[in-house]
Amino acid sequence: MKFMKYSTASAQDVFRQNNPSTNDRIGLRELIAIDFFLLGVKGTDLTASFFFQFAGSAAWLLPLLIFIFLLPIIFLVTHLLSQYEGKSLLFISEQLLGRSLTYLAAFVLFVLGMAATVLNMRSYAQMTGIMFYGRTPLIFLYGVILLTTAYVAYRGLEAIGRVASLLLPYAVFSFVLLYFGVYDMMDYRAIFPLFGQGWKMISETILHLGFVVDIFYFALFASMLKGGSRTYKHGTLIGVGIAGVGTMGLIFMYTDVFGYPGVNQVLFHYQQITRIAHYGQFINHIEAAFLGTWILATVVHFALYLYTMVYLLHYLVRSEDMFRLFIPVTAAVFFAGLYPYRSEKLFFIYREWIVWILTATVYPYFLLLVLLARIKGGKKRGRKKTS
Amino acid sequence: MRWMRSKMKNQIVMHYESLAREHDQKKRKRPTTPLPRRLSVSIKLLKERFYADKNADFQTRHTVYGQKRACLIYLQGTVDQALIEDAILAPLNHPLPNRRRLHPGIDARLSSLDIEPLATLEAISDHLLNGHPVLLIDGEKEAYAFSMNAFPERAIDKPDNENVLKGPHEAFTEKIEKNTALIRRYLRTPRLIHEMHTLGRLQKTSVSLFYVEGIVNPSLVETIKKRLDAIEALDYDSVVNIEQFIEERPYSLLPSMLTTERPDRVAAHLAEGHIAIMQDNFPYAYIAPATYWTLFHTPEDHYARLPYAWFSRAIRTFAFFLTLLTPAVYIAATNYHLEMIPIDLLMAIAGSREMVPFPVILEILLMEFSFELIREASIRIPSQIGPTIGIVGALILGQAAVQANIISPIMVIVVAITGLASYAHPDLSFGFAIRIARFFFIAAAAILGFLGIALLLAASLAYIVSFKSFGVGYFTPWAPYVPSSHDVFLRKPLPDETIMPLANLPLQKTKANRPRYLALKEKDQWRKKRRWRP
Amino acid sequence: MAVKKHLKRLLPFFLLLFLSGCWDKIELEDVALVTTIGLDKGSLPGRVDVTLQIMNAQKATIALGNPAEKEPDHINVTLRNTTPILVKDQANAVITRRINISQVQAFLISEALARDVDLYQIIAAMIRDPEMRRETPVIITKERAETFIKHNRPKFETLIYAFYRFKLNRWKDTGDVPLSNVNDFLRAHADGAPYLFIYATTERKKAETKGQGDDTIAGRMEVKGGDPAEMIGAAIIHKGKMIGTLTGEETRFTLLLGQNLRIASYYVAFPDPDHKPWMISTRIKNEMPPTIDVDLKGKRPHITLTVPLYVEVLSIPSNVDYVADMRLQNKLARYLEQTMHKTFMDLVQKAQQTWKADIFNWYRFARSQFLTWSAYEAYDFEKRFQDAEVTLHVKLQMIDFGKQLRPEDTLPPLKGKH
Repeated sequence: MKFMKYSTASAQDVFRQNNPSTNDRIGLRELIAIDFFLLGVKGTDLTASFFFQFAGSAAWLLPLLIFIFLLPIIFLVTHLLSQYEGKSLLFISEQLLGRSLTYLAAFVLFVLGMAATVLNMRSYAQMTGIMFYGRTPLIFLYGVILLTTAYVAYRGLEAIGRVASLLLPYAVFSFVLLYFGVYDMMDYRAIFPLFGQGWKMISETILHLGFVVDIFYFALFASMLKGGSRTYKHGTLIGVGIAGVGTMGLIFMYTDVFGYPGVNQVLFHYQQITRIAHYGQFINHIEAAFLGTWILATVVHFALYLYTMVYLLHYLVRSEDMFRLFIPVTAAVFFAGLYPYRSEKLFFIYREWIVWILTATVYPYFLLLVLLARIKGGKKRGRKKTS
Repeated sequence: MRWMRSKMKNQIVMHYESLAREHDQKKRKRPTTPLPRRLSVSIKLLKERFYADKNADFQTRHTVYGQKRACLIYLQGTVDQALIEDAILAPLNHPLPNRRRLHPGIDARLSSLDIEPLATLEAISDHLLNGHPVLLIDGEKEAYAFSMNAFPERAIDKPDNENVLKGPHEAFTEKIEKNTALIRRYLRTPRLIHEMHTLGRLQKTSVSLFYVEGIVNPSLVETIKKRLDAIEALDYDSVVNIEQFIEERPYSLLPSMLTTERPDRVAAHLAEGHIAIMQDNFPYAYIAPATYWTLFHTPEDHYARLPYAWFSRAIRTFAFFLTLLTPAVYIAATNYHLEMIPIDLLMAIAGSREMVPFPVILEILLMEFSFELIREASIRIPSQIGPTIGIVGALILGQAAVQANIISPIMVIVVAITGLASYAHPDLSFGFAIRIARFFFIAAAAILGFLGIALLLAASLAYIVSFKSFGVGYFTPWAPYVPSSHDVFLRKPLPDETIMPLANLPLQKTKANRPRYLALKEKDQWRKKRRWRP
Repeated sequence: MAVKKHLKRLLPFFLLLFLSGCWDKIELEDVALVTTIGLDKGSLPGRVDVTLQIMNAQKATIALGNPAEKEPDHINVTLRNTTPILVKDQANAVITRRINISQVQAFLISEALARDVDLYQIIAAMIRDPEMRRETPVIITKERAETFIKHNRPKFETLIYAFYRFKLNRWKDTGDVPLSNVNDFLRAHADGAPYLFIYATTERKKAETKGQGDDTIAGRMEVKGGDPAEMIGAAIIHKGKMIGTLTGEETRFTLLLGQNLRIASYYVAFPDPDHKPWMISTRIKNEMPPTIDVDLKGKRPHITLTVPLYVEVLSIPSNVDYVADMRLQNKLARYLEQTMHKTFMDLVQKAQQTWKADIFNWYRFARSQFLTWSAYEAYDFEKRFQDAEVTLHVKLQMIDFGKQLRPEDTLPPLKGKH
């Protein structure tokens, strides 16, 4: 294996680089945990309301549907990464598209990512404020959460990965605990009729695939994976699988406890469910404990977003040290998040726009790269390949 | 893309390292004076050097060596006088049987002793200070030092801080030779290397480095040796505690080396690819690199049977969270999340708080501060009044304060649980870290309730996880997943622990010859089948 | 490095975090905990009267200090002609502490309000407060909620919150009342289905017919003594308004037929088939729920129910030998089946004709027959329920006599003095 060779020159640096715990690499388990936190936390916010809007009582099937639609794209992206083994997405697109087009693509990714980060972070801060901290000003909550997230991201990607892999069992455990807590309030017949809104589900899913575009943003860091594209494939599949099962379970719980169509009248499903959870006669009203685990998951989720944004900005601006860009990015996110919008309706509208634009730009970009890679591969071998 | 990777640095640059690189180029040499041949001159120089007119310890014994005059010099108290007279002076007073010379300059009468010839005054003074009597002979260009130092020392005792119920009960003492002997008794292999460096200008402690050649990663050894060289080049007067000179982050709350006074623990860690650093006059060994699990495990986890080991670790983990979070959770629950408390308890607490003048935060801080006071004081209390203070402090003060309605009774319970749980952590340095971190959590809970606790937990997790002790991450077999014996939280039965923890990158990967676990090589067919196992 | 130096100068500003007020901090002794909220019809249209029952925390203190002797256990505050959301701040005119409704044990709504006003609007308004909980029980009282709260002084419970908590556990044991909470009501309302609320009162009236036992509504039980509050039976709310009441026994059977009865067993007494004055006491175990088949293919929905009964006959005062004689036992079994069948069918008829509402919540079973929501909405089960054909089969799965001797067995005579 690679790390068994060492040279005597600057042994300290070599030790640092080749030690599996410090060589800035993400292993399989960390990737699984990262993908879980990227996607699983979405089941606890207003994304659930979107799902109910698309699919009615069959909202719990939507993660499965999304997974089915994601499968071919994951395989394609993995194929792309394996053709340029060990290189990150921007390098590959520089090879295939040229520098200026890659700049444009990175710029679009950056802008969209910042918009999504700001919108989501503000909505999470608002959720916490409305449900738990009624009198605290939103600026303060938003600022504190942003500060912690920025600090966690500042420690580096491998630190985020390790924190994620440490917290993964606790997230799953708290989910199971939640299930047992609301068990006697659930009526499983609320998930019927089974196919909710019918064929509309499939078209809406395809239009809104931008919800799960985060895992493809992670391809930017493909050069940091231990084991290259194989790790990416396994990690993404398993991570998205676990997140999908978790989200399915959560939405199933929401449907059963609140009833359909009663679930449309509840704004923050996860918080309300944790308020209902009870264990026996004395242990009830423990939503603050679930708040704790939820905030931990949220911090990891947004730390990844922030790190990705800083990385993209670093590519665009070509600064000396990537970590100096944390301050401008954090400040931008903070000030952009202060923009007041008057009602929750506007949040839904903005979110939907961003998701549409993401679906319309990111997936075609990846497909274009895959196409170009196959064509170039065909030219290299001198045979024409039909794609 | 390569320029991006090279610019991404988030490690604290080691200033010792840069200093070491500087000093590598210009190594200063200490001045040396050769030994004069005439006895009277050399004695006069030595007496000047040691301020013999003021110094009562500098003893000279004049004797003869054959036809020449000789003088035996030693520092009183560092040598055993009876032994000197028996072994050195007595034979010298007898006439020479024949002129057979084993050493050039010294002869067969003293050949049974460990003799080292010295040529410079600095070397003579070093040996004198180390307790070796030196024989100066008129006309010879070398003096001879006998290594028979007899510094007073302590007998081997039970360990103070690391007691086990089932296992060896030996601890290190201050003398480095005895400690070395203890370690060698546990690890009897010729590959156990013991390197000695001398540091400090005034203090001249010898710092020993232990490692097992063939297991430990050579670059780790080189790292530590470079740091030691840097310290030596900086020419400190005294190196009191080598840990604080070697560690990377002196301001951090977390220790990067394990401190232990048990030789069996040192031996176990050496066998897993760690390095042990010991110092003369300091009965503790430092083990580097240290992960969190090194600090968390006690030797009893391996000496006791499996169910007890699991149970003990579970209790310790629980105690860790208790001591860190109990006051903070109490503040968060009573100030921000009233509904968490079951209503009976809530009514009881609310009822008992009606008469108390302070808000909850102030009460907690008051109680925590007094508990810390008691802890600090109890280290220094003379043993005669120790138990009395215990009774006075705990029972009477606590009871009286509750009855005077200064604090509420729940507070006493909270603080007592916290204090008790803080002793459950096996490592002393980490226990300090937890005690200090507890106050940060109290502050976070006081500002924002459970949100504050969760945010601070996330931030401190990110900090701990990116803390590197000599290049090894702090949570290593768990957080960046590295193949190992999975001896992290629940251990396997001892016969099944056959892989070395690969975090230290040892050169030897296994502890035993089980063919299943030798599948770490690329071409082994087992590797294909058992994909998810190391 | 230079950046770090400048950053260090900003560190003191982080201490401002500590100086900034903790906005949500509540001190325990500064809080008034509300146990019950009662809603009544206000004298102005569109307004409600809200009554808060606030507990005195010092009565529950740990007995190291001196508990306040002269303070009352709880106080009631009524605010007239207001809206539910304004209550918390308005009440601070007469209450010293900050009102906290996170420990509310029950909601009381008076019948007059429930019959008049859309309950959904009121409850949804209360739920907007984040301190309010969705699993709070809701009780409908016959008289004004204010009066109920005033008269509800349980004999054994010092602090009033214990009353509701223990009562809830009793409800789980007997099945005489439904477990109604805000969450299930909102859910049923969104489905358009009727919902059963607990019905309670403190006014006792004379019973109309004697010997009804469980089969009475609250306030008409033949009972003397005990706590002043009587809770039995249910109130039916359909589309936000109250349309009727059920007796205790009817409630139990309604829940049973809807697969909602979550208790282990219940006691029913039957008149003896041949010897009329005597009553046979049985305990019916709730081992398997009734199987419900909804067939929507024809013009009218066809609902088939099979109710298995596991009966344990506990006492036979008429001394008829049902234990050993198999013919008599079969006769008893058939008789029990018939009686239960009649009771159930009466109930179904009442639901279809009198109230015209699907109180058994059979729409949940109808939903599984459809594939999409639009198909289900087009079918409109609620309207068609009134014409539905309901076939009920009561099957006595087991009849058990427990550990008892045969009626004619007597103990052997004492071996006294020979």
